[in-house]
Amino acid sequence: MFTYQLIEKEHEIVVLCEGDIDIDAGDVIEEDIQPVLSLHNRIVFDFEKVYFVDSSGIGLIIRLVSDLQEAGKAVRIEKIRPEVTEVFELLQIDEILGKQVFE
Amino acid sequence: MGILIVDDSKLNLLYLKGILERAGYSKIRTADCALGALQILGLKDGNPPRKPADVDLILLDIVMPGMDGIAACRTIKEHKVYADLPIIFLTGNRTMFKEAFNAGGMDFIEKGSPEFELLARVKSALKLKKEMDIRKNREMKMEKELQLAKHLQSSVLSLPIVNDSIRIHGKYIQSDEVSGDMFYWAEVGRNKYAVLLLDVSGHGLSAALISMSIRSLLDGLVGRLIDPHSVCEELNMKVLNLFKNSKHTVYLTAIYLLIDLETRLLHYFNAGHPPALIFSKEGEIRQLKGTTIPIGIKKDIRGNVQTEPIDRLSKILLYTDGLIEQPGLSMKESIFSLGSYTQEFQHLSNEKFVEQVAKLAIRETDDICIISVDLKR
Repeated sequence: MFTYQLIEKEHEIVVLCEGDIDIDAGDVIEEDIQPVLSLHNRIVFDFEKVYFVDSSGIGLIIRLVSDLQEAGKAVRIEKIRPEVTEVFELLQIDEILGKQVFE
Repeated sequence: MGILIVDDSKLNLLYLKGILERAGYSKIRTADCALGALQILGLKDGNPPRKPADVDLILLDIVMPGMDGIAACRTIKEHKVYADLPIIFLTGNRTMFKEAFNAGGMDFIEKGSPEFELLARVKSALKLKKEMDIRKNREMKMEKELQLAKHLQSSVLSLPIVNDSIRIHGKYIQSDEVSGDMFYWAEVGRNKYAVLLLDVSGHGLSAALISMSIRSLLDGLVGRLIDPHSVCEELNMKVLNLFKNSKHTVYLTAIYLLIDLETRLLHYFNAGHPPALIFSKEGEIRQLKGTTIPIGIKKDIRGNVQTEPIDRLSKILLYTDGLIEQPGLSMKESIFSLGSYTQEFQHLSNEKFVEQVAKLAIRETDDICIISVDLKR
Protein backbone atom coordinates (compact mmCIF):
# COMPACT_ATOMS: atom_id res chain seq x y z
CA MET A 1 0.00 0.00 0.00
CA PHE A 2 1.43 3.34 -1.02
CA THR A 3 0.14 6.71 0.14
CA TYR A 4 1.48 10.25 0.06
CA GLN A 5 0.97 13.71 1.49
CA LEU A 6 1.86 16.98 -0.15
CA ILE A 7 3.38 19.75 1.91
CA GLU A 8 3.72 23.05 0.12
CA LYS A 9 6.55 25.23 1.33
CA GLU A 10 7.61 28.66 0.17
CA HIS A 11 10.07 27.56 -2.48
CA GLU A 12 9.40 23.87 -2.86
CA ILE A 13 6.85 21.11 -2.52
CA VAL A 14 7.56 18.06 -0.36
CA VAL A 15 5.99 14.71 -1.24
CA LEU A 16 5.89 12.62 1.93
CA CYS A 17 5.84 9.05 0.64
CA GLU A 18 4.68 6.16 2.76
CA GLY A 19 4.59 2.42 2.10
CA ASP A 20 5.93 0.14 -0.58
CA ILE A 21 6.73 1.35 -4.06
CA ASP A 22 5.86 -1.48 -6.42
CA ILE A 23 3.57 -2.02 -9.38
CA ASP A 24 0.52 -1.11 -7.26
CA ALA A 25 1.91 2.36 -6.62
CA GLY A 26 1.88 3.04 -10.37
CA ASP A 27 -1.60 4.57 -10.59
CA VAL A 28 -1.06 6.88 -7.61
CA ILE A 29 2.27 8.08 -8.93
CA GLU A 30 1.25 8.55 -12.54
CA GLU A 31 -2.31 9.80 -12.10
CA ASP A 32 -2.25 11.68 -8.78
CA ILE A 33 1.27 12.81 -7.92
CA GLN A 34 2.76 13.59 -11.31
CA PRO A 35 0.05 16.06 -12.47
CA VAL A 36 0.22 18.06 -9.22
CA LEU A 37 3.98 18.38 -9.40
CA SER A 38 3.92 19.96 -12.82
CA LEU A 39 2.98 23.24 -11.10
CA HIS A 40 6.16 23.34 -8.99
CA ASN A 41 9.79 23.92 -9.81
CA ARG A 42 11.51 22.41 -6.78
CA ILE A 43 10.34 19.02 -5.63
CA VAL A 44 11.48 16.94 -2.67
CA PHE A 45 10.48 13.32 -2.17
CA ASP A 46 10.69 12.27 1.46
CA PHE A 47 11.38 8.52 1.57
CA GLU A 48 11.64 8.15 5.33
CA LYS A 49 8.59 5.89 5.38
CA VAL A 50 9.31 3.96 2.20
CA TYR A 51 10.34 0.51 3.36
CA PHE A 52 10.45 -1.46 0.15
CA VAL A 53 11.03 -0.69 -3.52
CA ASP A 54 10.92 -3.51 -6.05
CA SER A 55 12.04 -3.53 -9.68
CA SER A 56 8.73 -2.14 -10.93
CA GLY A 57 8.97 0.58 -8.30
CA ILE A 58 12.46 1.50 -9.48
CA GLY A 59 11.03 1.82 -13.01
CA LEU A 60 8.31 4.16 -11.72
CA ILE A 61 10.80 6.32 -9.81
CA ILE A 62 13.14 6.57 -12.78
CA ARG A 63 10.29 7.54 -15.10
CA LEU A 64 8.82 10.08 -12.66
CA VAL A 65 12.08 11.82 -11.78
CA SER A 66 13.37 11.82 -15.39
CA ASP A 67 10.10 13.35 -16.65
CA LEU A 68 10.25 16.07 -13.99
CA GLN A 69 13.90 16.77 -14.76
CA GLU A 70 13.14 16.99 -18.46
CA ALA A 71 10.50 19.58 -17.64
CA GLY A 72 13.25 21.63 -16.03
CA LYS A 73 12.45 20.92 -12.39
CA ALA A 74 14.94 20.37 -9.58
CA VAL A 75 14.21 17.05 -7.86
CA ARG A 76 15.66 15.60 -4.69
CA ILE A 77 14.99 12.33 -2.87
CA GLU A 78 15.65 12.53 0.88
CA LYS A 79 15.86 10.33 3.95
CA ILE A 80 16.18 7.03 2.12
CA ARG A 81 16.20 4.03 4.44
CA PRO A 82 19.24 1.68 4.40
CA GLU A 83 17.30 -1.26 2.90
CA VAL A 84 16.13 0.94 0.03
CA THR A 85 19.58 2.50 -0.35
CA GLU A 86 20.99 -0.98 -1.01
CA VAL A 87 18.66 -1.43 -3.97
CA PHE A 88 19.38 2.08 -5.27
CA GLU A 89 23.10 1.44 -5.05
CA LEU A 90 22.93 -1.90 -6.82
CA LEU A 91 21.04 -0.33 -9.70
CA GLN A 92 23.16 2.84 -9.56
CA ILE A 93 20.17 5.11 -9.48
CA ASP A 94 22.43 8.11 -8.74
CA GLU A 95 24.23 7.41 -12.00
CA ILE A 96 20.88 7.33 -13.82
CA LEU A 97 19.14 10.32 -12.25
CA GLY A 98 22.19 12.38 -11.37
CA LYS A 99 23.99 12.62 -8.03
CA GLN A 100 22.33 15.98 -7.24
CA VAL A 101 19.04 14.13 -6.69
CA PHE A 102 20.50 12.52 -3.58
CA GLU A 103 22.43 15.46 -2.14
CA MET B 1 -30.28 -25.52 -19.37
CA GLY B 2 -31.12 -28.75 -17.58
CA ILE B 3 -33.31 -28.87 -14.47
CA LEU B 4 -33.78 -31.90 -12.20
CA ILE B 5 -36.85 -32.02 -9.95
CA VAL B 6 -36.78 -34.44 -7.02
CA ASP B 7 -39.96 -35.08 -5.03
CA ASP B 8 -41.61 -38.22 -3.69
CA SER B 9 -45.01 -36.89 -4.67
CA LYS B 10 -45.70 -37.68 -8.33
CA LEU B 11 -48.39 -35.04 -8.29
CA ASN B 12 -45.89 -32.39 -7.23
CA LEU B 13 -43.44 -33.53 -9.89
CA LEU B 14 -46.04 -33.15 -12.59
CA TYR B 15 -47.20 -29.81 -11.26
CA LEU B 16 -43.69 -28.30 -11.12
CA LYS B 17 -42.68 -29.80 -14.46
CA GLY B 18 -45.79 -28.31 -15.99
CA ILE B 19 -45.04 -24.81 -14.74
CA LEU B 20 -41.45 -24.95 -15.95
CA GLU B 21 -42.40 -26.36 -19.35
CA ARG B 22 -44.99 -23.68 -19.87
CA ALA B 23 -42.28 -21.12 -19.06
CA GLY B 24 -40.16 -22.53 -21.89
CA TYR B 25 -37.76 -24.85 -20.05
CA SER B 26 -37.42 -28.04 -22.03
CA LYS B 27 -34.63 -30.12 -20.51
CA ILE B 28 -36.46 -31.21 -17.39
CA ARG B 29 -35.87 -34.52 -15.65
CA THR B 30 -37.60 -35.86 -12.58
CA ALA B 31 -36.82 -38.35 -9.81
CA ASP B 32 -39.21 -39.54 -7.13
CA CYS B 33 -36.52 -40.27 -4.55
CA ALA B 34 -33.02 -39.16 -3.56
CA LEU B 35 -31.39 -42.30 -4.92
CA GLY B 36 -33.08 -41.74 -8.26
CA ALA B 37 -31.55 -38.26 -8.32
CA LEU B 38 -28.09 -39.58 -7.44
CA GLN B 39 -28.43 -42.09 -10.25
CA ILE B 40 -29.20 -39.35 -12.77
CA LEU B 41 -26.16 -37.44 -11.51
CA GLY B 42 -24.01 -40.54 -11.89
CA LEU B 43 -23.32 -40.73 -8.14
CA LYS B 44 -25.15 -43.88 -7.25
CA ASP B 45 -22.06 -46.03 -6.66
CA GLY B 46 -20.37 -43.27 -4.67
CA ASN B 47 -17.82 -42.42 -7.35
CA PRO B 48 -18.15 -39.10 -9.13
CA PRO B 49 -18.56 -39.19 -12.91
CA ARG B 50 -15.72 -37.79 -15.01
CA LYS B 51 -18.16 -35.44 -16.69
CA PRO B 52 -21.06 -33.94 -14.75
CA ALA B 53 -24.59 -34.82 -15.89
CA ASP B 54 -26.44 -32.26 -17.95
CA VAL B 55 -28.14 -30.70 -14.95
CA ASP B 56 -27.79 -27.00 -14.11
CA LEU B 57 -30.24 -26.76 -11.25
CA ILE B 58 -31.87 -29.15 -8.81
CA LEU B 59 -35.24 -28.53 -7.16
CA LEU B 60 -35.06 -30.83 -4.17
CA ASP B 61 -37.81 -31.84 -1.77
CA ILE B 62 -36.61 -32.07 1.83
CA VAL B 63 -38.95 -34.61 3.37
CA MET B 64 -38.80 -37.89 1.44
CA PRO B 65 -38.84 -41.53 2.51
CA GLY B 66 -35.37 -43.14 2.61
CA MET B 67 -32.65 -40.57 2.07
CA ASP B 68 -34.05 -37.10 2.68
CA GLY B 69 -33.29 -34.00 0.63
CA ILE B 70 -30.73 -32.61 3.07
CA ALA B 71 -28.65 -35.80 3.07
CA ALA B 72 -28.92 -35.96 -0.73
CA CYS B 73 -27.74 -32.36 -1.00
CA ARG B 74 -24.78 -33.08 1.25
CA THR B 75 -23.84 -36.13 -0.86
CA ILE B 76 -24.07 -34.20 -4.12
CA LYS B 77 -22.01 -31.29 -2.79
CA GLU B 78 -19.26 -33.65 -1.61
CA HIS B 79 -18.32 -34.18 -5.25
CA LYS B 80 -16.19 -31.52 -6.85
CA VAL B 81 -17.94 -31.75 -10.21
CA TYR B 82 -21.15 -30.59 -8.54
CA ALA B 83 -19.70 -28.06 -6.13
CA ASP B 84 -21.18 -25.17 -8.11
CA LEU B 85 -24.49 -26.86 -9.01
CA PRO B 86 -27.26 -24.78 -7.45
CA ILE B 87 -29.79 -26.67 -5.33
CA ILE B 88 -33.11 -25.09 -4.37
CA PHE B 89 -35.04 -26.82 -1.62
CA LEU B 90 -38.77 -27.41 -1.87
CA THR B 91 -40.31 -27.34 1.54
CA GLY B 92 -43.54 -27.19 3.37
CA ASN B 93 -42.17 -25.69 6.58
CA ARG B 94 -39.21 -23.62 7.65
CA THR B 95 -38.03 -25.70 10.61
CA MET B 96 -35.28 -27.44 8.64
CA PHE B 97 -33.94 -24.33 6.91
CA LYS B 98 -30.75 -23.97 8.90
CA GLU B 99 -29.74 -27.55 8.25
CA ALA B 100 -30.74 -27.28 4.60
CA PHE B 101 -28.59 -24.21 4.01
CA ASN B 102 -25.69 -25.75 5.91
CA ALA B 103 -25.88 -28.76 3.60
CA GLY B 104 -25.18 -26.49 0.63
CA GLY B 105 -28.60 -25.39 -0.59
CA MET B 106 -28.61 -21.96 -2.22
CA ASP B 107 -32.30 -21.08 -1.96
CA PHE B 108 -35.71 -22.46 -1.06
CA ILE B 109 -39.24 -22.39 -2.43
CA GLU B 110 -42.14 -22.90 -0.10
CA LYS B 111 -44.65 -25.38 -1.39
CA GLY B 112 -47.74 -23.58 -2.47
CA SER B 113 -45.87 -20.41 -3.43
CA PRO B 114 -47.20 -18.59 -6.46
CA GLU B 115 -45.84 -19.61 -9.89
CA PHE B 116 -44.04 -16.32 -10.48
CA GLU B 117 -41.96 -16.84 -7.33
CA LEU B 118 -40.89 -20.30 -8.42
CA LEU B 119 -40.01 -19.02 -11.89
CA ALA B 120 -38.12 -16.01 -10.55
CA ARG B 121 -35.99 -18.16 -8.26
CA VAL B 122 -35.31 -20.73 -10.97
CA LYS B 123 -34.38 -18.00 -13.42
CA SER B 124 -31.92 -16.31 -11.09
CA ALA B 125 -30.31 -19.63 -10.05
CA LEU B 126 -29.83 -20.62 -13.69
CA LYS B 127 -28.43 -17.22 -14.54
CA LEU B 128 -25.89 -17.52 -11.75
CA LYS B 129 -24.96 -21.03 -12.86
CA LYS B 130 -24.46 -19.86 -16.43
CA GLU B 131 -22.20 -17.01 -15.36
CA MET B 132 -20.25 -19.35 -13.13
CA ASP B 133 -19.80 -21.81 -16.01
CA ILE B 134 -18.54 -19.05 -18.29
CA ARG B 135 -16.09 -17.82 -15.66
CA LYS B 136 -14.85 -21.33 -14.94
CA ASN B 137 -14.34 -22.01 -18.62
CA ARG B 138 -12.44 -18.80 -19.02
CA GLU B 139 -10.24 -19.60 -16.03
CA MET B 140 -9.53 -23.06 -17.38
CA LYS B 141 -8.56 -21.63 -20.75
CA MET B 142 -6.32 -19.03 -19.11
CA GLU B 143 -4.69 -21.70 -16.99
CA LYS B 144 -3.99 -23.81 -20.09
CA GLU B 145 -2.55 -20.77 -21.86
CA LEU B 146 -0.39 -20.02 -18.85
CA GLN B 147 0.93 -23.58 -18.71
CA LEU B 148 1.73 -23.38 -22.42
CA ALA B 149 3.48 -20.05 -21.96
CA LYS B 150 5.51 -21.45 -19.06
CA HIS B 151 6.45 -24.44 -21.15
CA LEU B 152 7.51 -22.25 -24.09
CA GLN B 153 9.51 -20.01 -21.83
CA SER B 154 11.51 -22.82 -20.30
CA SER B 155 11.93 -24.55 -23.67
CA VAL B 156 14.14 -21.73 -25.02
CA LEU B 157 16.65 -22.01 -22.19
CA SER B 158 20.12 -23.28 -23.03
CA LEU B 159 20.95 -26.91 -22.36
CA PRO B 160 23.87 -27.82 -20.08
CA ILE B 161 27.38 -27.77 -21.47
CA VAL B 162 29.56 -30.53 -20.12
CA ASN B 163 33.11 -31.25 -21.24
CA ASP B 164 36.55 -31.81 -19.73
CA SER B 165 37.32 -28.16 -19.14
CA ILE B 166 33.96 -26.58 -18.30
CA ARG B 167 30.50 -27.49 -17.10
CA ILE B 168 27.58 -25.08 -17.23
CA HIS B 169 24.28 -25.95 -15.61
CA GLY B 170 21.27 -23.81 -14.91
CA LYS B 171 17.96 -24.09 -13.22
CA TYR B 172 14.88 -22.05 -13.82
CA ILE B 173 12.36 -22.24 -11.00
CA GLN B 174 9.08 -20.91 -12.25
CA SER B 175 6.65 -19.09 -10.02
CA ASP B 176 2.87 -19.50 -10.24
CA GLU B 177 2.92 -17.03 -13.08
CA VAL B 178 5.28 -16.50 -15.93
CA SER B 179 8.00 -13.97 -15.28
CA GLY B 180 10.99 -12.20 -16.78
CA ASP B 181 14.03 -14.23 -15.77
CA MET B 182 16.07 -15.81 -18.51
CA PHE B 183 19.43 -17.46 -19.00
CA TYR B 184 21.45 -18.11 -22.09
CA TRP B 185 24.86 -19.50 -22.85
CA ALA B 186 26.81 -20.61 -25.88
CA GLU B 187 30.26 -21.65 -27.02
CA VAL B 188 31.30 -18.55 -28.94
CA GLY B 189 34.71 -19.57 -30.22
CA ARG B 190 37.43 -22.07 -29.59
CA ASN B 191 37.47 -22.52 -25.82
CA LYS B 192 35.36 -19.42 -25.32
CA TYR B 193 32.02 -19.50 -23.58
CA ALA B 194 29.50 -16.71 -23.12
CA VAL B 195 26.98 -16.88 -20.28
CA LEU B 196 24.17 -14.39 -19.80
CA LEU B 197 21.64 -14.12 -17.00
CA LEU B 198 18.94 -11.49 -17.16
CA ASP B 199 16.00 -10.37 -15.09
CA VAL B 200 13.38 -8.08 -16.62
CA SER B 201 11.90 -5.61 -14.16
CA GLY B 202 8.39 -6.35 -12.93
CA HIS B 203 6.58 -9.66 -12.89
CA GLY B 204 3.99 -11.55 -14.81
CA LEU B 205 3.02 -11.65 -18.43
CA SER B 206 4.51 -8.32 -19.46
CA ALA B 207 7.93 -9.22 -18.06
CA ALA B 208 7.74 -12.61 -19.80
CA LEU B 209 6.85 -10.97 -23.12
CA ILE B 210 9.84 -8.69 -22.81
CA SER B 211 12.26 -11.44 -21.86
CA MET B 212 11.08 -13.63 -24.76
CA SER B 213 11.51 -10.81 -27.25
CA ILE B 214 15.02 -10.22 -25.94
CA ARG B 215 15.75 -13.93 -26.09
CA SER B 216 15.17 -13.86 -29.83
CA LEU B 217 17.99 -11.32 -30.21
CA LEU B 218 20.58 -13.24 -28.26
CA ASP B 219 21.82 -15.82 -30.77
CA GLY B 220 22.75 -13.06 -33.19
CA LEU B 221 23.91 -10.56 -30.62
CA VAL B 222 26.07 -12.67 -28.33
CA GLY B 223 27.29 -14.99 -31.09
CA ARG B 224 28.36 -12.08 -33.31
CA LEU B 225 29.75 -9.57 -30.79
CA ILE B 226 31.12 -11.84 -28.04
CA ASP B 227 33.05 -9.05 -26.31
CA PRO B 228 31.27 -7.89 -23.09
CA HIS B 229 31.65 -4.22 -23.92
CA SER B 230 29.91 -4.55 -27.26
CA VAL B 231 27.29 -6.98 -25.95
CA CYS B 232 26.37 -4.52 -23.18
CA GLU B 233 26.09 -1.54 -25.52
CA GLU B 234 24.23 -3.39 -28.24
CA LEU B 235 21.80 -5.05 -25.83
CA ASN B 236 21.14 -1.65 -24.24
CA MET B 237 20.47 -0.05 -27.61
CA LYS B 238 18.20 -2.89 -28.73
CA VAL B 239 16.10 -2.74 -25.57
CA LEU B 240 15.84 1.07 -25.79
CA ASN B 241 14.75 0.83 -29.42
CA LEU B 242 12.43 -2.10 -28.98
CA PHE B 243 10.42 -0.38 -26.26
CA LYS B 244 10.88 3.26 -27.19
CA ASN B 245 7.12 3.75 -27.65
CA SER B 246 6.17 2.21 -24.33
CA LYS B 247 4.97 4.63 -21.66
CA HIS B 248 6.48 2.39 -19.00
CA THR B 249 10.14 2.14 -18.16
CA VAL B 250 11.31 -1.21 -19.45
CA TYR B 251 14.65 -2.27 -18.11
CA LEU B 252 16.51 -5.37 -17.15
CA THR B 253 19.41 -6.27 -14.96
CA ALA B 254 21.95 -8.67 -16.38
CA ILE B 255 25.26 -10.37 -15.84
CA TYR B 256 27.33 -11.41 -18.82
CA LEU B 257 30.40 -13.60 -18.53
CA LEU B 258 32.90 -14.28 -21.27
CA ILE B 259 35.03 -17.18 -20.15
CA ASP B 260 38.21 -17.64 -22.16
CA LEU B 261 39.81 -20.97 -21.38
CA GLU B 262 42.85 -20.20 -23.59
CA THR B 263 43.92 -16.98 -21.89
CA ARG B 264 42.43 -18.28 -18.60
CA LEU B 265 40.59 -14.99 -18.11
CA LEU B 266 37.02 -14.12 -17.28
CA HIS B 267 35.66 -10.85 -18.66
CA TYR B 268 32.29 -9.70 -17.41
CA PHE B 269 29.85 -6.89 -17.00
CA ASN B 270 27.15 -6.56 -14.39
CA ALA B 271 24.26 -4.24 -15.20
CA GLY B 272 22.56 -3.69 -11.86
CA HIS B 273 22.33 -7.37 -11.00
CA PRO B 274 23.18 -8.92 -7.62
CA PRO B 275 26.87 -9.89 -7.69
CA ALA B 276 27.99 -13.32 -8.87
CA LEU B 277 29.76 -15.48 -6.30
CA ILE B 278 33.10 -17.03 -7.20
CA PHE B 279 34.60 -20.01 -5.43
CA SER B 280 38.35 -20.48 -5.34
CA LYS B 281 39.95 -23.90 -5.47
CA GLU B 282 40.78 -23.44 -1.80
CA GLY B 283 37.10 -23.03 -1.06
CA GLU B 284 37.06 -19.28 -0.48
CA ILE B 285 34.03 -17.36 -1.70
CA ARG B 286 34.12 -13.83 -3.10
CA GLN B 287 31.69 -11.55 -4.90
CA LEU B 288 32.44 -10.39 -8.42
CA LYS B 289 32.51 -6.64 -7.95
CA GLY B 290 31.82 -3.80 -10.34
CA THR B 291 28.44 -2.85 -11.75
CA THR B 292 26.92 -0.47 -14.21
CA ILE B 293 23.36 0.83 -14.61
CA PRO B 294 20.62 -1.58 -15.78
CA ILE B 295 20.04 -2.20 -19.48
CA GLY B 296 17.40 -0.15 -21.29
CA ILE B 297 17.39 3.05 -19.23
CA LYS B 298 19.99 5.44 -20.64
CA LYS B 299 21.41 5.82 -24.12
CA ASP B 300 25.00 5.87 -22.98
CA ILE B 301 25.95 2.96 -20.82
CA ARG B 302 29.52 2.28 -19.78
CA GLY B 303 29.98 -1.45 -19.63
CA ASN B 304 32.47 -1.17 -16.76
CA VAL B 305 33.90 -4.47 -17.96
CA GLN B 306 36.04 -6.26 -15.37
CA THR B 307 38.56 -9.03 -15.79
CA GLU B 308 39.38 -11.84 -13.41
CA PRO B 309 41.93 -14.64 -13.82
CA ILE B 310 40.23 -18.02 -13.63
CA ASP B 311 43.19 -20.24 -12.84
CA ARG B 312 42.44 -20.26 -9.16
CA LEU B 313 38.67 -20.52 -9.62
CA SER B 314 36.59 -23.62 -9.27
CA LYS B 315 33.08 -22.27 -9.65
CA ILE B 316 31.03 -19.22 -10.58
CA LEU B 317 27.48 -18.90 -9.28
CA LEU B 318 24.94 -16.56 -10.87
CA TYR B 319 21.41 -16.07 -9.56
CA THR B 320 18.43 -13.74 -9.85
CA ASP B 321 17.18 -11.67 -6.95
CA GLY B 322 14.30 -14.03 -6.06
CA LEU B 323 16.91 -16.27 -4.45
CA ILE B 324 18.17 -13.62 -2.04
CA GLU B 325 14.97 -11.79 -1.14
CA GLN B 326 14.58 -13.13 2.36
CA PRO B 327 12.21 -11.51 4.80
CA GLY B 328 14.01 -9.63 7.52
CA LEU B 329 17.42 -9.76 5.86
CA SER B 330 19.06 -6.95 3.93
CA MET B 331 20.37 -7.77 0.48
CA LYS B 332 23.98 -7.76 1.70
CA GLU B 333 23.13 -10.14 4.53
CA SER B 334 21.19 -12.39 2.17
CA ILE B 335 24.08 -12.62 -0.27
CA PHE B 336 26.42 -13.38 2.60
CA SER B 337 24.10 -16.11 3.84
CA LEU B 338 23.83 -17.53 0.31
CA GLY B 339 27.64 -17.75 0.31
CA SER B 340 27.81 -19.62 3.61
CA TYR B 341 24.99 -21.95 2.58
CA THR B 342 26.62 -22.89 -0.72
CA GLN B 343 30.07 -23.32 0.79
CA GLU B 344 29.37 -26.82 2.03
CA PHE B 345 28.08 -28.00 -1.34
CA GLN B 346 30.78 -26.59 -3.55
CA HIS B 347 32.54 -29.90 -4.02
CA LEU B 348 29.45 -31.61 -5.40
CA SER B 349 29.14 -32.21 -9.12
CA ASN B 350 27.96 -29.06 -10.88
CA GLU B 351 24.51 -30.42 -11.58
CA LYS B 352 23.98 -31.48 -7.97
CA PHE B 353 25.38 -28.18 -6.74
CA VAL B 354 22.72 -26.31 -8.71
CA GLU B 355 20.03 -28.58 -7.27
CA GLN B 356 21.23 -27.83 -3.75
CA VAL B 357 21.25 -24.06 -4.34
CA ALA B 358 17.73 -24.36 -5.77
CA LYS B 359 16.52 -25.68 -2.44
CA LEU B 360 16.92 -22.14 -1.11
CA ALA B 361 14.10 -21.04 -3.38
CA ILE B 362 11.12 -20.84 -1.08
CA ARG B 363 9.21 -17.90 -2.49
CA GLU B 364 6.61 -18.69 -5.08
CA THR B 365 5.89 -15.16 -6.16
CA ASP B 366 9.00 -14.59 -8.22
CA ASP B 367 10.90 -16.68 -10.73
CA ILE B 368 14.39 -17.70 -9.85
CA CYS B 369 17.27 -18.53 -12.17
CA ILE B 370 20.47 -20.14 -11.02
CA ILE B 371 23.54 -20.79 -13.15
CA SER B 372 26.68 -22.53 -12.04
CA VAL B 373 29.85 -22.63 -14.11
CA ASP B 374 32.29 -25.27 -12.97
CA LEU B 375 35.88 -24.72 -14.09
CA LYS B 376 37.63 -27.62 -12.41
CA ARG B 377 39.72 -29.52 -14.92
